[in-house]
Amino acid sequence: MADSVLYLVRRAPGRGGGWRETVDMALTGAAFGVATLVWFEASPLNVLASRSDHADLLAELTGFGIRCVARREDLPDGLAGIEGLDPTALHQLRHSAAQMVIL
Amino acid sequence: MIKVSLLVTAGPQRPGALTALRTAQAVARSSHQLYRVFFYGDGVHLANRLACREDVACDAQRGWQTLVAEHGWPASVCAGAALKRGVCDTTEARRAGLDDANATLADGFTLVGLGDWVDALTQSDRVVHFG
Repeated sequence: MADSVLYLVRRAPGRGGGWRETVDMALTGAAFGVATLVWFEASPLNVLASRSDHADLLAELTGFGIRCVARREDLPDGLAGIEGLDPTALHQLRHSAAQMVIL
Repeated sequence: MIKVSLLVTAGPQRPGALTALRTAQAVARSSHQLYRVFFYGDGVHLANRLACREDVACDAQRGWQTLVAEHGWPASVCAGAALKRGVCDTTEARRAGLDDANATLADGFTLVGLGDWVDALTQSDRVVHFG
């Protein structure tokens, strides 16, 4: 039985609604006690960095105890709350998660 | 025997929708248990009984709807994602002031909350995602 899940997030906040659905899915799992990790790809990171409300958007996740990570070289300046990790650390996280979902 | 759940976020026009269907069929034929199929994002279109068209995308919709109705697979459709995309059951149709004929959810599918996704995640030995 899975007790941890990693969401690899490709969707950026915007009009499409995909970001909202991704966040809702992660938050629901965390609310039920599933260890939840969110790994952002470069595209959503760049959109987040360009938005004035990025701190609020990220606080939704981090405030709920969800760990947010990204490749160090993908992480723009100013996105507090997201850990920049090297490929080895990300690889370990990937393999320690019981499930992985790409959204 | 292991318990397998499927997360389907692929819409009808994506290859993942048919691949998920074939996977569900294979699990159902095997000695393993198909615990839950959870439709989310654009995957909820697969549960829309009115959206069939005569093209390849319809193969996935028709296939899912036929097999869910015939075999009673545990087909859970996220209510929030479904309502945003015009997929509703009779309860939601009435809530919107419409009669039951306006319900678009195909037979055998059930509108559920995201708690059912967590249930699939925590109760299954394997969750396979088709996006």
